[in-house]
Amino acid sequence: MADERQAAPAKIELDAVTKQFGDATAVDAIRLAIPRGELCVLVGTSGCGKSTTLRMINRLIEHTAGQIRIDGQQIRDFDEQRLRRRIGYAIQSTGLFPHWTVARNIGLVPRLLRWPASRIAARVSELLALLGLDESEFAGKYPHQLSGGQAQRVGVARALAADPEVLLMDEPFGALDPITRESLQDELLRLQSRLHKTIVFVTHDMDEALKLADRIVVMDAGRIVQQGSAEALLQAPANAFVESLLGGRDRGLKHAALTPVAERMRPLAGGAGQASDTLSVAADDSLRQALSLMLWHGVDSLLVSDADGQVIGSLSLRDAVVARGANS
Amino acid sequence: MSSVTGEHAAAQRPDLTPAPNPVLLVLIALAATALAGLPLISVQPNRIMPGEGLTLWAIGAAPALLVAVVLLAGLAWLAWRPTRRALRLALAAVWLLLALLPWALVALAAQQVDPAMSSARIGLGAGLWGGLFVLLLALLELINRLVLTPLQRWGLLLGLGLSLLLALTGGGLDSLALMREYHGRSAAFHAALRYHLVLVAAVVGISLLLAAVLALAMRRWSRLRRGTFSVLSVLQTIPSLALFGLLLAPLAYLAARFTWLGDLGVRGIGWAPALIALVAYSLLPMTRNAYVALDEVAADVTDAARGMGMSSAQVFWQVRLPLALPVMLEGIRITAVQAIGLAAVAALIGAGGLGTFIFQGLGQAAMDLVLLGALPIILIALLVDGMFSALAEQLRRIQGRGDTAHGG
Repeated sequence: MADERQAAPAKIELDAVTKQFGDATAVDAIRLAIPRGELCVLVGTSGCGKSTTLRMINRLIEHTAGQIRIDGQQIRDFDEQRLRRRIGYAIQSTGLFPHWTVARNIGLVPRLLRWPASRIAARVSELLALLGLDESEFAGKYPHQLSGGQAQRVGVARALAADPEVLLMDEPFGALDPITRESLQDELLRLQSRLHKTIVFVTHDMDEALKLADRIVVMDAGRIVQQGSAEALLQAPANAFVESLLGGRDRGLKHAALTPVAERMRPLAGGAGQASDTLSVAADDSLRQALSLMLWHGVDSLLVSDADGQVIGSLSLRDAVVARGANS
Repeated sequence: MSSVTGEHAAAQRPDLTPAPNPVLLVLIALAATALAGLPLISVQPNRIMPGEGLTLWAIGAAPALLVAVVLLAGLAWLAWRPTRRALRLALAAVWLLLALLPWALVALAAQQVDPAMSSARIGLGAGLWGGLFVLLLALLELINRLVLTPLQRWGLLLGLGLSLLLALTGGGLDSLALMREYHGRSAAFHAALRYHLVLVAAVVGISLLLAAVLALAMRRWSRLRRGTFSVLSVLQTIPSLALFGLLLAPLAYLAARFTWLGDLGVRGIGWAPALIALVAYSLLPMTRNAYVALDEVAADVTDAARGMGMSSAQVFWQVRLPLALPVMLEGIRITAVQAIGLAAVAALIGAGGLGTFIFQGLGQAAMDLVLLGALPIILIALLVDGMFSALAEQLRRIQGRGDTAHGG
């Protein structure tokens, strides 16, 4: 086993990890290996042990039995505070310090690590820009002056401040309205495509999990019920519980939401024209959006346009519903 | 803090629907009645002889009467249609009335007292006290309606204080009975004032220290909580005189047994029992506020602080304590105001302080001597109250609602 691990070291490993609160077992001997750069989403109903699992990784909760390793080293071997300063942490209510400005909140961990002031200031500017917050407007504000979405951006910036390799996110978008939540999810995917952090993300929202995850880990009653890619879960839910989390008969639509139109469209042979009417979808829109448009307008085909609005193909209802060729 | 936003909303309303302000109207009517109907001052030939009360009509100073009538009538008119502008004018008028009051007294004193009669004195009558009190209430009402900033509020009060101080130091009010009493014992007054302040400061300091220790211990060992709070509550219910009495014997015994205690001035009476009793009374509000303040800091904030890698000490000093400070200040404010008042009672067991004059005055049936002790106590209490309130408000303003904003 040890040799295998050295060959392909997982960033985070949970090895038969158990947590007991008194007589109650919150997490029951779970095994999980999260490779470097993966966005792993723990999903399940409340009380399933997903938050406990997350909080055991930065030792906010000490595990009762088993081993948790980061880079092959047991987390119990680290100094607690030093471990946490190496791990980004973002939570649902943001936990921003209300008496500190946005800039000071973001600079928290670098200051704990005793970075020089100039380096902290530069890092704060960089992060505000990265999260799309205008520095002159936001740096001096206090948390109560921010909207929910802005506060959560600051929370994410604070988690990223010391450039940690591991990021723990505990339902970070759970308290936001659907539109803000979606834009922050997109933001996270954009950030992750640039930063390649190892992220453990907890949510109870399967749609969020399907959208974000490289790997989904479904938990129930302290155990891992199933883990795999979104595609794999949708294709073959392990049991009725996973199936119900996946929305039962809405599964088809959830799957369609994950498939881009480009995958199913027929490319246009002739010269491209400008897509003028509303009956067109973008190539990177999802099949679900395309199906919705067809239903709404009562049509059975749509034009597909690229980012510049040029028509590059078409999508029929049959194309959308039945995959061609290898996809069986 | 939600009350602040409520007041802001209320402040904007008068512009839209200027319904008559009943509070202000009643206060103006009361002020007019007090000033016009009751004796304003009494003139005594000396300290012993009873004075003769003089109403506004008896004094018959026509120009002053006219000014007062015009100002009050104007005020009533403004209160009837209280737009924001009218309220500002009303504030100016009330402030002017209050600022002019000492100078009206100066004029009265010059008119009524022959400078040659060095023992003749002027007592303040019910009309003047009543009018002053009601006008101060009107001032507060207007300040609240207009939602003034702390700076503006302090500016207004400072102006009034300055006007009074100038009138007092100018010598024009030396024939006031209160001033005659003061001049008769100014050294004793200053000593008592200093003593009173030192005693209160010591009480607040010691009880803050003890409360901090108790609050931290209760947070550490939650089983201590119930017991501690019941003991403190019981202490709070013992009447102050009884507590002084209870302390008398043990302290006298200790002082006799250990001479070094006696050398320090510890006796059955004096500052020692006063200090102990006042600290005992202060512990409940101080400890309760300190405990609640520390305990109510949002758990998600301290969770995030720990999760970011702050040590327990860093979480406490940089997060928990600063966030608890506004509520803790509230405890200090309550304790200080309470101690300022209670320290007066301590004069009964020879602890000194401003209370001395109150009890002397009561013994000699000299009401002006009572006032010499009571007025500074009231003023100090109001001042301390205002200072701590302003400080806590300032802190809260920075912290917003004392908790992070969440989305809808």
